[in-house]
Amino acid sequence: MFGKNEKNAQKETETGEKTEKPEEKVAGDVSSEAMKQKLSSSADVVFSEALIDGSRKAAVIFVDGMVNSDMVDNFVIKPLIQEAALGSAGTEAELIDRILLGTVYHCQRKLREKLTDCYGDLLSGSVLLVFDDSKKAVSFEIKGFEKRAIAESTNESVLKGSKESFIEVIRINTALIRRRLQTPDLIVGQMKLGRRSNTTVAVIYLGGIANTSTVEEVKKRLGKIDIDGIASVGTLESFLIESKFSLFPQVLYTERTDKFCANLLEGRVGILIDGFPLAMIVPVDINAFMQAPEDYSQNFIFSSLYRLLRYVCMLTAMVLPAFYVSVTTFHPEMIPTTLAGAIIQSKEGVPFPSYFEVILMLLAFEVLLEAGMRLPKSVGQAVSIVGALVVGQAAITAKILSPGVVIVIAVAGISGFVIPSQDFSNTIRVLRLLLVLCAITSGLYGMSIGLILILYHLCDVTVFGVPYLSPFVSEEGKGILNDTLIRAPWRKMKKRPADINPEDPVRQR
Amino acid sequence: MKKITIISLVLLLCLSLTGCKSFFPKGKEMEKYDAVTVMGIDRSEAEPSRVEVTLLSKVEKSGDGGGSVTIKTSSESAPTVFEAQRNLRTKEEKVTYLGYVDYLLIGEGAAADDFTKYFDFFVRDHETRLSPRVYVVKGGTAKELIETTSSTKIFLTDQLANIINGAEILGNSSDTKIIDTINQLDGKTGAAVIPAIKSKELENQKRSGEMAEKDVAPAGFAVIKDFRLAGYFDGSAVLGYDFLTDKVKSCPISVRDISGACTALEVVNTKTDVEAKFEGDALKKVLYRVTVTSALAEQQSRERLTTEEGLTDLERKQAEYIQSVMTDAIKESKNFGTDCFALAEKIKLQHPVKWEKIKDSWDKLYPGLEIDTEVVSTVARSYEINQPNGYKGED
Repeated sequence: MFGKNEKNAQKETETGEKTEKPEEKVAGDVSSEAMKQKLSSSADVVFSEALIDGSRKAAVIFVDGMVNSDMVDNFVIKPLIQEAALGSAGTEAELIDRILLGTVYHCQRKLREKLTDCYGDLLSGSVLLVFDDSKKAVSFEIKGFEKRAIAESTNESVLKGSKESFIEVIRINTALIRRRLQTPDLIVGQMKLGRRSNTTVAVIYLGGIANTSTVEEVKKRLGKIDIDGIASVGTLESFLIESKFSLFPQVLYTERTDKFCANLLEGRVGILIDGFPLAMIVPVDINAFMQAPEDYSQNFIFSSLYRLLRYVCMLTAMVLPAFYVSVTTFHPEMIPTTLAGAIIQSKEGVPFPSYFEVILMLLAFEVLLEAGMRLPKSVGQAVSIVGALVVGQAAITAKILSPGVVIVIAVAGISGFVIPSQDFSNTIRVLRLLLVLCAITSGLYGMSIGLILILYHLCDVTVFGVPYLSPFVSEEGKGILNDTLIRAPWRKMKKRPADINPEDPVRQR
Repeated sequence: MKKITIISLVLLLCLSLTGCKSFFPKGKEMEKYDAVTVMGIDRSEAEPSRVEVTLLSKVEKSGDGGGSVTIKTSSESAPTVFEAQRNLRTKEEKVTYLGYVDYLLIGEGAAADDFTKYFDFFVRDHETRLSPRVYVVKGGTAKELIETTSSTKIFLTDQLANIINGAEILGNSSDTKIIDTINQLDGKTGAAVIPAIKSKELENQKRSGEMAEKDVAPAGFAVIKDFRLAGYFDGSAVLGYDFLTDKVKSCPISVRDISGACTALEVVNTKTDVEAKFEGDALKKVLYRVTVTSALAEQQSRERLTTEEGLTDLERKQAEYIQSVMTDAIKESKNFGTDCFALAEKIKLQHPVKWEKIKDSWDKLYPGLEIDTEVVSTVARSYEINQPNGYKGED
């Protein structure tokens, strides 16, 4: 998709018929009439006038619902009409100067001389005072739209940890981060993306810790995006990542402010998008998707055991169905006699071969997941129960499926849920199916080839220059025992992860 | 694109190197297999030049009413084991699969005829594992034993598993696998010793459910000398053999205490060391030193035995008993005229240079070799918290 866009853009440049950007259409002098022409068809845009000294008028323009009406009345309109200093201004230019000097009390005021800037301010929740004679406007940022309260994270809940999560408003999100990292080194770079949506995107990092070239590369890639609007976080992700066709997630998402800040402290770069209660973190490696926020709150022994368990479960979720197909169809000698007897007994009378049963169950599992996700919570639970228990049991009793297959798929499915990252879990589910197909062709041999190809691909993936498997190969393997398979005690984790090349590698002294 | 082409080529290459005639290897569903768990090999009674193969499998079918169990026995005779088992495959509805064979029974006639002739198939065959346990059927054929000792309630493999479990606590048999037998047969200086079993009439059996015609019991060890059955270790020599080969994990020893009542000692720890004594290059003597630790498992007298005198007496009697069983085993071994305890291997490891000088005459040397035994006996645990019931002596 990204490549296609690039090609289209190139094609347009070559033919000289490049589409005119929206802001180019609105270029011109600041006037209330021009804005009225453009916005009068929108019912939520309010145009009114304020009489300043009995003779001089200023157009007051704002978007209803996006500004705080009380503040507009008390801190903009009221002083505008009542302040004697404004009435005594000789010229309109002098009047504007006095407004900008604070005669109108509201502190966030800007002088706008371009119509484009006026539209930007107006649509992001500012009130505009337009002076037609001077062809200037003063904007007051008085955002007052409804927003969701800061609530507990729903997807990354923890027992020992903060209950604070991001919301949809970027400015509140940046404030939450500022509150946790009270350092002047915290840099919040901001840009507008989306030709029509003008979505605010913030690039956040800690100066002196985050790798400078990584920060520049993030900004460069974001700057290159030329799209109508940012409809989803995935849109931005697809422009940021290097391996476009990889199944593996290359951006870490979090809705937890503490996790976001911890990653900034490690030297990573965070990206916030206005309108989404999620933050993106780059660069990341495979280990980032196997870490849970609670890992750092618990005793390192528990955390390490859970980490190991997650890796084991990840492998189980990916390999178990394919392994079952392999050994039952191609390598029965690998199964102990007693277990083989039980499998043979359970498969008596089942009309389908093992591989078909496995594929059928995997598909049923996916259907149940999808159905559970789409339906309301209460109904979703019912679907799971009916699907897993009633249909599953009925299928076994009716000899459509063998109990062994149901157990294998259930174990693989539950193991997949242990992975903290939903994106990574999805990847494992797809790979599981691909490995089953490999196993169907040639048993363990085919499965081994599939695993080798996956490993080859993993070795090939990089995220902003950081190898995806770097914790297992960097520092001569020391990373494995530091914060990968094992979560070392905090006293031992003196350095930041070396694979992301932080400017300051020392975390504690 | 280049990468995809290379990967595709590598994949094609890999898949074409599977070693299978078809592009992809051929799989088979497990329910198509008849999982044979016991295989019996006999010399054909009708035609002694032929081999008779008997297979035993249990087919369990699950169902709403609890399912059903079928015991399936089939036998076939042919010039070779390989041909016989192939012939059996054509007679079965399912594919006879030997990968799950857990027990290999060799009939006495076959073992006496030529053990390796009937055993070679298992050395070569890729389907059978090297882990099945090997037994020689004493005083009968494997076919007869297989046919008479299984019922839908009691399966032969369960009884054989009981014998293995029993060997660990009684010291009356051992757990010998095909790979162990191959190693023993490969040895150039001694005999192969394989556990033996026998079928016996049902005695004092009070089991519910369907009973088999006969029961299976351990019958000591079969000695295979020069690839033929030379005889058996039986009676007390069985335990003696286990002690001499350091296979005893635990066993009960009953002795008379100072009052003359019976006392049970439970061997909890044992270790056997061998020491070869040379004079110059001549092997003069071999000493087996067994260190045994026991617990006082039961006493029938009401005397207090945990006195110095009582314990010393028990230790001495335990040592005498173990020494006697070992002497019996050594005597049997000398009667067979072959080293049944892999003694040659131990001497070779201890004295590699001197061994080179005696290895050619080992077979002649062994029957006349002086083999001493020594037992270091300890009764370490009395489990005695209070005095024995009915004790009337001083505290």
